[in-house]
Amino acid sequence: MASGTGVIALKYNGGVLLASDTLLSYGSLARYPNIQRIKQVGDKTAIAASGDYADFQYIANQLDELIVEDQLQDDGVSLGPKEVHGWLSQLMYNSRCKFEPLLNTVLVTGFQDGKSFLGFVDSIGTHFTCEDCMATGLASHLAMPLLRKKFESNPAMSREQAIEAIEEALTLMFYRDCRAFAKYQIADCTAAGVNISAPRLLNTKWDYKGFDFEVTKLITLPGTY
Amino acid sequence: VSTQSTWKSDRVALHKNIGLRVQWYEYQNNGAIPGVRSVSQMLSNMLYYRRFFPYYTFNLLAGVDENGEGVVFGYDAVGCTEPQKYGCSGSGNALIEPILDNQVLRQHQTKAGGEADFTMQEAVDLIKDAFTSAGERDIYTGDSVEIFVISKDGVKQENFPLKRD
Repeated sequence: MASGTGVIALKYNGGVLLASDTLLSYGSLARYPNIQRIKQVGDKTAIAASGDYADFQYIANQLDELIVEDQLQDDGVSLGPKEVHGWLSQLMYNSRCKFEPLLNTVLVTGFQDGKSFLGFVDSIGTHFTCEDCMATGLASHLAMPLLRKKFESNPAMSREQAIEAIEEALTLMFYRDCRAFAKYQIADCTAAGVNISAPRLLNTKWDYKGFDFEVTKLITLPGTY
Repeated sequence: VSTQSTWKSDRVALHKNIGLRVQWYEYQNNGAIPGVRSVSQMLSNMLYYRRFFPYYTFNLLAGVDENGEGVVFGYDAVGCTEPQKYGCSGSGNALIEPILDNQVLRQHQTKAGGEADFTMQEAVDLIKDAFTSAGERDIYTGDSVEIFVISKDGVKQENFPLKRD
């Protein structure tokens, strides 16, 4: 029952960013702190999901098989984010109809036909595409207002501005969500393809007087989260 | 034009299926477009077909029939339907239905003088007022309304913004 917390995505001028932390929780236990929760699908798409990680691995395997089958056709056309989103929505909806839902909320991002793509698929098959930003799990309450505000004030933001906004949202998620983590990865989908960053640490502030007790000294050391 | 409320995944699945069936009708009937009453019966059948695992949707179908008269068909989740002058469904249903009862059927009005006859502009204004009112009290109604105006000349779409709270 290892599960991941919310993931977030934000469109910018020239692409779309998809971000998640690297933690799998076992209930309230922070069990696996170094897991990549973002997956590249084919050469144009990246997906990430909150919820049950075993179901996400199943989805990932199914998508890999789908990509291989398509590559075997060798018809010069490859599956993009729109196709992955459509196929995945049907996978989730049909699982739900058979009363065996995949307990994930998935964000599908990519760049196709000169445009960035951002899609959402739920465990009950709810699916839609987004024009601006999206978040799953607890992040839909914590991060969405922040991302929406950033997007509305600057819809054609640059990659650097988008990364800044994403990191701000991830920091907020880490501060407020007990199942979130300060180590994260960002996937960048542009016309050039998909680039998933190496894991890195958020800049968080803990040197408040109220946290400065002898027995909890470990938490205030710089370099730890 | 058909629209549904509630369970989004069922709604989208049903919407796609209706679209496919209408496309096939056109292919198999030399490009003829099915009339509203035909689609209304088909939708009723599609819904009842799933009587023991229903589409969790509450449908409204609207169009202009062969006589040039506008008609609305309201549905329950398993396909019960009848032609109506107006209909509404969804979370704001209980808020809007009485407004329409009063304005269209002139119910609870003294000196009413029968049912109302609307021009296109009057109908659109009534709908905008109804949604604005529903948006005040229903938390799920808001942001914006897509209004489709269907006449014998075709379908026009308008997006009407509401309060974003």
